[in-house]
Amino acid sequence: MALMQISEPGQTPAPHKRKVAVGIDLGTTNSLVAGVRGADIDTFVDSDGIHLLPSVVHYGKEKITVGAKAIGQAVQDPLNSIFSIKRLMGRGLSDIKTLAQQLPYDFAADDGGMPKIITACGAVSPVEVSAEILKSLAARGKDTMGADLDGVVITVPAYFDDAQRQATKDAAQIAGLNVLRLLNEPTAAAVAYGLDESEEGITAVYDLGGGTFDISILSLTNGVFEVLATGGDSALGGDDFDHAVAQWALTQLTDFDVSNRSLHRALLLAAKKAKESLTDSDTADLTIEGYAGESLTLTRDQLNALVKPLIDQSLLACKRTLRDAGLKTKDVNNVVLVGGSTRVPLVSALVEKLFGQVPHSDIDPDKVVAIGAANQANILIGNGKSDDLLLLDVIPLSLGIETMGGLIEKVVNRNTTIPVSMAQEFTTYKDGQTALAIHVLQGERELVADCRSLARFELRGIPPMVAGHARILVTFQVDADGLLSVAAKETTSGVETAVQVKPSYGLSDEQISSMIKSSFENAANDKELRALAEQQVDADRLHEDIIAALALDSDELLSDNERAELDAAMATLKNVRNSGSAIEITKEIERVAKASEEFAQRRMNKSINKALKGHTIDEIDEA
Amino acid sequence: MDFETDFFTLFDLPQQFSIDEYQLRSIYRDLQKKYHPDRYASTSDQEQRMALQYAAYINEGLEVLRVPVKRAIYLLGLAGVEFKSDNLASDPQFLMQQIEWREELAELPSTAQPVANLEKFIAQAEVEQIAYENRFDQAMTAKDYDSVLSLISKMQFVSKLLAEAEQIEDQLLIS
Repeated sequence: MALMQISEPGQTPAPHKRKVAVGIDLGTTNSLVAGVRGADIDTFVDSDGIHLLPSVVHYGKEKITVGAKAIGQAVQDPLNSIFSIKRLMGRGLSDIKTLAQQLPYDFAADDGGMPKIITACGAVSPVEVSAEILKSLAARGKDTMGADLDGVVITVPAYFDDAQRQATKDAAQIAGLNVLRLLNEPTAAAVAYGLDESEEGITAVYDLGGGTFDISILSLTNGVFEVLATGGDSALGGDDFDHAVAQWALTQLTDFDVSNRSLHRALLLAAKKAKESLTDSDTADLTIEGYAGESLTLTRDQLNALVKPLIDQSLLACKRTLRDAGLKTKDVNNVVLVGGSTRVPLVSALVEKLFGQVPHSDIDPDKVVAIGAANQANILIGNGKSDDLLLLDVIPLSLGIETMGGLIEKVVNRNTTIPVSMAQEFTTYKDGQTALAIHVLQGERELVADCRSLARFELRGIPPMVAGHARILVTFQVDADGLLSVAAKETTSGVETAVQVKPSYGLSDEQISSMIKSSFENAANDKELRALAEQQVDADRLHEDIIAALALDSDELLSDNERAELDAAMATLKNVRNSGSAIEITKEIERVAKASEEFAQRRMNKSINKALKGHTIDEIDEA
Repeated sequence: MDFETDFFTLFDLPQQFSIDEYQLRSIYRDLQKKYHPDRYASTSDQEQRMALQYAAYINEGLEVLRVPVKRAIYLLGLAGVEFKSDNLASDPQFLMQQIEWREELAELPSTAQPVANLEKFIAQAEVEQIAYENRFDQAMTAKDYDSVLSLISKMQFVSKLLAEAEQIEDQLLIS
């Protein structure tokens, strides 16, 4: 912020100069920029009068082009024309293998495992590609507002995880923009609809974009918009409709060379075009540039059959999110459609059926998010009034840390209102342990392997203590952008460490979308695995404790026979721990605990005697 | 605002278990209107950081007061008694009850009308939960902390049970 206030000599800004801020909808397929001018709030046009900027970047040898001109080069030069980069934001190369096969580019990895696309201008990361789109939008904003931009609000899917949000913020930084806030897309849309503040009550925002799906349930009361719950699928959008149409076309076409990347791109563009024409007509021709074979016609019924399974997925997410909000469909006062993909007639028809009411789409579903973002940008830069709408948003996925046995202890539950700070206490596992590795994860499943790893760090310098005596307070703070920072502190000694969570990669499309989904599908399986892992931890702990005690006191306190018996019981425990079920391990733990009971009692007596003796010695010394 | 303020005082509610949820929500909104970082976005970095902390504190307060089990533990903490997890070892009757509940829940999906039966199960568990909450309220007023500790453990168990029942409900929704 301080940097923004530095002025060139002789150009000191007037003391009460109105500051300039715009809202940016950085979409998978199209992006927009909007701003407030006087009483007007609208999206800005380019020199040809077009509002939408296609989110496409062409990397030529000489120059980089963005938007419609970049699409123009796509069929001739598919390798250097980057589409749908948003789907790669915050992902690692290993996460996007499946997706990469659908995309006609060459990929390379950088040191951090972040994917890079090889272009005529060298290897570029998704963050850099997004930055090009942002630069183009910011330039349009500056031209239209007639002044440099003091700040921007950028929208992200509500369902974006920490890595994806961080990547978006990084892109803005590369583009040289001051980010006032990352705003969730459905929330921005709700703001645009709520601007007149006339309609209090519950609103459901169904947002189906090019590459992501969000559902948010909001309540508007007394000038405050509260997100009650949010859900979605960050691997579901209009792109998937296009791919479904393209897959169908491939089954109909003979002699189509799928390995030809120009043809592949031409097919995807033709599929998208046919899908769009079917909004208003009953049939559409699939015209593939550069393909001389048979021509195809797609009917609306055929399209409906292809996309219905995809829409059904989104409706399931709607039902779950309503449940999370503690509401039924009849409690919803308004349903709002957002995103270009809601223009597919079957989408609005099925949403209407689910909620039992006609959804609103009065504000252009392509523009509504940018308009809401512009309104927030204007407020956040300081041009608002004190009674402006206040937005209270939530985190979409739970945050937690890894505990023993590959399990996750949730620290912040999904749908918790942000900003928020939550702490949980953990302890050491071994005697004399001086460091604790902290592994931060995001997701709904109970096992570490099924959630997204966000960061790892270590708390060092814990004074040596008996296992379980250290009190390590781990604090998660999520700011108003939904970005996480984590701090850990050993409270008896005050040793502290903190980390800004900054992952070099994020979730794969498939991974994140399937996270909540599989959390429900695998709940039963998870519970068994969790019980097993817990019992294994208990078995290990008991085993370790007894070994340590035996090393100290076995000779003195146990006969050879007793020792042999205990050793045998421990050996069985170890076997069962590795191969048995949770119940079997529990039984074995009980058996060993019982077998070692006498030994434990003798040890206790011994230490009490020792303490008494010590006492006597002290007294003698003092005397 | 002072971070030493307890959440009841912060939300202008009497320090007791039963709360007026409407007032909680309404004061929550008023507090956020005053302290939320969005109201300070064009101020100094330091003011922005303070606003972030205030808003986070208010959100934590809402969460603690809104969720009955969290509210109970918090109320006990204010009375100077720390809640530790295991208070049921001496209550074999409740342990039996736990096993019965779990068995019933595990068998529910394979019954003839799983959804209806599950809804009935959830409704029953909710009735039990309210009974525990009422008994907690009385024990808390009487400063009978042994009973309080055991009742909170029971409330925790039923909350967990309800969460599991809802997960099973989701599975039934998918199939």
